Amino acid sequence: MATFFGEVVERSSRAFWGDESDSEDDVHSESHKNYRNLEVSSSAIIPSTIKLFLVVHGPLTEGFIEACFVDKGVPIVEIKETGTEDNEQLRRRKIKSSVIYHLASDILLCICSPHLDIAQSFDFTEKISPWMKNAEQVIILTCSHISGYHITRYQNDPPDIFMKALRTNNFIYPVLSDRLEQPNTVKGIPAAVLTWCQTFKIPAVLYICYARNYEVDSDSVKLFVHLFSKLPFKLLKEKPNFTNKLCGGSEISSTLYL
Amino acid sequence: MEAVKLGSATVGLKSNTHAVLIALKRASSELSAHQKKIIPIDTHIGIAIAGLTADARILSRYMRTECLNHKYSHDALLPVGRLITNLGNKMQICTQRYDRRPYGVGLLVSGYDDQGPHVYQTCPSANYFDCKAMAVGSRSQSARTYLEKHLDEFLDCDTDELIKHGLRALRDTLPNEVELNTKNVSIGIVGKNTSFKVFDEEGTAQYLRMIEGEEKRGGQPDTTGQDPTPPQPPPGGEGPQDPIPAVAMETE
Repeated sequence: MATFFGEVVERSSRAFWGDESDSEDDVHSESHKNYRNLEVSSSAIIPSTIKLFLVVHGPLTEGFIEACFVDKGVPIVEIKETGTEDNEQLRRRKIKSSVIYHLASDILLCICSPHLDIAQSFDFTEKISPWMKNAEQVIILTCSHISGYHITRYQNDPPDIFMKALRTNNFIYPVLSDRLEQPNTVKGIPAAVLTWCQTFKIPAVLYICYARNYEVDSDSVKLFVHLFSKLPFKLLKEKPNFTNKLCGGSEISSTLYL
Repeated sequence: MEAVKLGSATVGLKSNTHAVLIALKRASSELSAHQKKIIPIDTHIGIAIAGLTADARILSRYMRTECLNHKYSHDALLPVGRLITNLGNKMQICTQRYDRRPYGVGLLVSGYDDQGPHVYQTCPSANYFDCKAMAVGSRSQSARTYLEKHLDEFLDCDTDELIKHGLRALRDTLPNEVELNTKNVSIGIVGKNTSFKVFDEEGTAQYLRMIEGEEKRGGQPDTTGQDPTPPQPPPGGEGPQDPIPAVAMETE
């Protein structure tokens, strides 16, 4: 190894981005490739009065909708991903698009695609904002793993599943869960939608369900069923159907735990 | 402790003469069989596991070695309490060393020795508890509620009744649309004049048939029920509510 007498030889470091060997052009072009645009399908109808705009995000909530909600019918709007890849490649990757359904009596249901990235939160919120602007109230349903819930006092035997809520200032309707306490936060698309509603003064509430796993069965969705049974909207099926394999849930079943 | 809650539910209970373990088996995929949850350790001891399978395998191997060594050197069966103490000490070591991690498995140990039947619970924290009855694993709170409610009945039960109680407790951990069947249930028993054994499918089926007609917690009564038990109040105060029918009325 050649040594340099008296010269300072800087050791190469893996910790820094700004090394001269990394060209900045590469970084930019990669992010440009990775960014996925969202596009609203052209046949977009915006009803003038919307009693409730429901945003559903997360595998457990999606599973609840599939199992317990009335028939959704045909989607009125589809929010697809477009990008540098063509449709064929997107179809091969089997990317599900987000859809908005028109349920009975001026209720819209927006089911977020599981493939949406957190970086697309703002873009997605903007895409669905024309419908939210006309809504009397917005309810956002999301789920999170219980390990993400921070507690300030130790609980001997915390419940397996529980729900917390966050609302905008002008939400006048009753909130049917305890408030989400500090230092817990909500992030991603549900947070972006709630923040948008707060900014544009649309009454909105976000319900976040903390669970140990995302298996969809009558026990894991009972909190949602209880919530909707208290709301003045008739959205629940008489006989929920949990046999549908498309109900959220983890597709990768764990072999670690028995 | 969280690892134990990710394993499927397991129930252990004892009478004056026998100790019983009932476990809910889990199949990791549709192609695989339901994996064994109850592991025989010796002729007088068996365990049910909840948590990391690999850690459970290591602990069960240790327990078997301890029992065998004791049998060889003392020509007598290892008392259950002593085995648990040794196990607890082994588990504690890795909660204190910086280069080890705790064993991520909870065990329900059932055994029979001179002192009578025993049910012990062990935790990843290396604590162990002598129990009259216990349930561990996912959604086991409902099973514990059932066991607490019927605790006084267990001591004088015969083996059939004891197993039925265990099955009922386990059934309470399941959602309404899932039933116990011979594929997903495992029953182990040990006691006076009974070496530890795990029932095969026929044996399990026989006990499942005995509780078939009974009413589930918060569920609909079966039409073939002979002596329907009074409806149990849903544990935790709030059971699943009946969903309001969403049929649009024609008059609207």
